[in-house]
Amino acid sequence: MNLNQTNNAHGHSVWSVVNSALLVREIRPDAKTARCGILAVPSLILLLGLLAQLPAQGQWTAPQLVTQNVTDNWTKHYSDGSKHESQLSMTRESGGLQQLDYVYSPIFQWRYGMERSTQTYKAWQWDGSAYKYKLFSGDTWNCCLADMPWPAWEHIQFGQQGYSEWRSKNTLVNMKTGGSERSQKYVLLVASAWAYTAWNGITPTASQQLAHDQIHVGGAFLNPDFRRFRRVDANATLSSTVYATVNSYGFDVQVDAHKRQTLTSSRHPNAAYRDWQIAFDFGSDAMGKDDDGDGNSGASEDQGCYVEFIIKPAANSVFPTEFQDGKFDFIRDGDNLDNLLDASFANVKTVTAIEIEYPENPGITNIFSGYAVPPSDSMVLDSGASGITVVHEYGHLNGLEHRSDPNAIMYNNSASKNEVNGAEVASFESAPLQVLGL
Amino acid sequence: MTSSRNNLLWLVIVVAGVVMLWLAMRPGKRQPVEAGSVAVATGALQRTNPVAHANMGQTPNVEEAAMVEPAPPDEDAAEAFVQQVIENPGQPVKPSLIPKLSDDQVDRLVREYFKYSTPLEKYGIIWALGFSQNDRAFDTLRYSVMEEYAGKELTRKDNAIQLGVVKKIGVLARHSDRAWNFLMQMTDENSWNRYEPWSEDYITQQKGSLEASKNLVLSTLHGSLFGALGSSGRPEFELWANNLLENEPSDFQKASASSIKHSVFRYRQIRNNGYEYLYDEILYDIRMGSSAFIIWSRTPEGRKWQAWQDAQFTALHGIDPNSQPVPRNGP
Repeated sequence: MNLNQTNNAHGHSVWSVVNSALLVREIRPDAKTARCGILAVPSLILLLGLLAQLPAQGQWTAPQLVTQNVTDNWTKHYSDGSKHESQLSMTRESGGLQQLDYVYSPIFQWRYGMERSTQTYKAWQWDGSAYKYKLFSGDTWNCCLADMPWPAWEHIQFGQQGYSEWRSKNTLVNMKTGGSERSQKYVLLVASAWAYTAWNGITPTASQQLAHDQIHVGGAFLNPDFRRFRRVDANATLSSTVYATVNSYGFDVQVDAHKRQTLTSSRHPNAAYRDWQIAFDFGSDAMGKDDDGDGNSGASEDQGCYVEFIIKPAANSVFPTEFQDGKFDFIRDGDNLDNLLDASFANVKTVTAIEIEYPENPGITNIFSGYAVPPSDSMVLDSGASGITVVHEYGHLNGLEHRSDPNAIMYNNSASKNEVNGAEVASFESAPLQVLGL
Repeated sequence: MTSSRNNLLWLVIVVAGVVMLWLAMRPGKRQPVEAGSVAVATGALQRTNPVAHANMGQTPNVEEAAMVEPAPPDEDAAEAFVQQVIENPGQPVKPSLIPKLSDDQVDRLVREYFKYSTPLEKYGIIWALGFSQNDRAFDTLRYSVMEEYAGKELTRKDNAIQLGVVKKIGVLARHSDRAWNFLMQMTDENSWNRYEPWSEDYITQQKGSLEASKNLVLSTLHGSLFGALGSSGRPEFELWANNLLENEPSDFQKASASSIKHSVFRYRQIRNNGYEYLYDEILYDIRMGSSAFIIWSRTPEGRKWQAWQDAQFTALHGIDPNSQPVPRNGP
């Protein structure tokens, strides 16, 4: 099997970089699986080219690869009772990204005994014109993909025998982002991973589907839909780690572009200070979760939604004098609420309480913990508003109305809900709002 | 001589009466209504039909619609409505579903009103009285604002509802001269000299002062008062507002400039879209009301009144309303 066959089988280029995002690719094992280490080299070179185009450190940048470690273990059981166990590890690093450590340690357990052979290919390098590699013996060859002296034992020994296979792959991806634009310890990495449902004529069993894979972030399982994930605890200026364990024939991990929304905040001088970045991050994380997995994209089908919020203090970090009267802090009249909403000194306006007559639901306690309506680009928030409330109000500013599903973020009283359907995703991820009063 | 003058006077009166009766009875002046609907009794609330006006090559004249007498009350519908309110006194209904109420029906709702002690319990009754189109409801609404809760401490929700009662007086003023006169009287700061407001428990707790709580309620109530004027749709309001543009407002009016701007907005909604739009979409649907306000505030008229509002703030406080203050606690 060669690279072109792989591409054709899956309808897209393995080594392509989509939307300036990092593409990390694993290749399904087969008799020549060890070649994936070799095939990864061109991708690294391409990746290097990509990284060289990224903005200088200190500006906000898309997530960049720091290191990637892949361990790949698989066992094949042949029809004659033989077993073939293989372990592959691959590492690539930033800076010295030209270097690839590749260890191939096949263990052959014959039906009449065991033979072990370990070979280590060290320091694959690209010198600008050709790949070079060393064996542990220290010998060096110039080579190309076509004439590598690849061991062909399987072809020799196992011939046309049938086999079953079990495989475990672990990929540890370290990424980092530039982050001087903001100081918040929050990085949103939106990535997608998917398995090949049918590859080279082999269809994985149910247990091998991606739905049974696990994607971990920071060591914790965070991705209920197994497709997208985010991390919440990384300092933007430091490396962050995404750890994915995938049991499948093959998978992609791709860091996607996502919407970034900068909002400014201001508060009434008597309202409690609130770090809205934390709340918006919480809400953003809730929106990203897809509780019910892939579905029919219907109105009640939860989908992942990815918006990264960057909250900055407005030039008027407290309300302008016109809005410093107490009636704009304890809002009890809709006229005052409207006037505050209409003012353009900030996107997020914090007050102590919002309680206006609301004939539709007269019995609801604490009637408004947040309030926003289009075509305004701002919201008024009770200083105690939850992370769900803030993204709920953000949904209003993007033109969304309330939804009757009590599990929806856009539900009328959605303090603890997190579902977003496809139509709402489109609105949430539409063009960013105007940044006011920066 | 005197006798013949009296006869002539009577003749003029009779002829004038006949003419007025003919004018009132001639066809085509009332909006068509759907038989059997609760809305039958709300003929005066029907939105002016812009299409009909367009066909006539005229601009919708809502003021004209406002002056048309309401359709005769549908007693059955009104009775059903009153019964519904009595059974659900705490739940307001959409104003377009509130029929014109007779004196007796208003009296029955007033009796129900006094059975309950908190605004939340009788929220629906307050709305029914405000939209009853019957001057008889004014006394209760006035009592509610001016006397019922004087010096008492209300909950957050009760305060929010109670502050809205004055706006219902504004709605009632469409049909009630007494309500209109009361509102105009209260635009004079001196009328509030002996007024004792209620307080709100949460504000009292947060401010640590009952007096501060009352002052905040009073300040908000003043705004609600000015905001209520435009809901009447009365031509007198336009004259009053234009007078503010041309003459120096009082400090009391300057302090409520934003609410006066809001009142102009409501009046404009009536002029452009009719009473029913104001009632159902602006007053009942809070979010729709806010959205419409923001759209209006970006029109030439909205910008003009915003500039006027800013000028009043500067005149009152001697500072630019958009100046940047220094944070007092925390970032």
